[in-house]
Amino acid sequence: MVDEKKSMAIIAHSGTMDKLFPVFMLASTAASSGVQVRIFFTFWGLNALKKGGLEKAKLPGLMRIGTGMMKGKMKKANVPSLTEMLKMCRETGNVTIYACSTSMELMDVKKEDLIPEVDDIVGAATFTEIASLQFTYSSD
Amino acid sequence: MANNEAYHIDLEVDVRNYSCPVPVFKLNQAIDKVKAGQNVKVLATDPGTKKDFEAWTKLKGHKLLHFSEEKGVFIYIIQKAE
Repeated sequence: MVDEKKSMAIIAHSGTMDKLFPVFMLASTAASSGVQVRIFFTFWGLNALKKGGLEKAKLPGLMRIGTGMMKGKMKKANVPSLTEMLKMCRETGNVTIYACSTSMELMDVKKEDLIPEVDDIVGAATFTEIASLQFTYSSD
Repeated sequence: MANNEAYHIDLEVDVRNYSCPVPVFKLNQAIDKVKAGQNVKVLATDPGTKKDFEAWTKLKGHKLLHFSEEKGVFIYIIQKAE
């Protein structure tokens, strides 16, 4: 029996907390629904993949002062943190995380600076190939 | 007596006071723990679960056996497909 799995590609371009939230919320929810999720972190998104990056992510611009308050609001509403959602993503086994090779060069980020959850460092062509693939599985 | 009590429950999940993405994530974890044909009962308060759980059962191929609302709490019973 051939079972076609759905896939979803997410581009994470920003490193601010507000823009990282939809990345991880969509990824964890889609992954929990059986969708293969591939996330491509590029430019400022790479900051989220640095060790401690997710915890340090702040609200953009002048709103950065309000980050603590927002985090408090989220805790009260039982909204998981970015780090918790990353963990949820890994638990589903359906999320693959890619760092953009060009961005790493431009932003002077080395492999050792990244968190272990990063699956691979790739360029745009590779990510396009991966993201446009439709997986088919046989189940018994 | 709500007729959700007519079903045999193999695993119960309480995600009351949690909103997206927690309900779907916990439901998925629970479905992985039970066998095909078994039932998972979910208690939720997030109104988003009405559409989210429907989408999830469609994506994963499981069956929503029962849905009811009691004093602001949504009760779902989902059966794991073969």
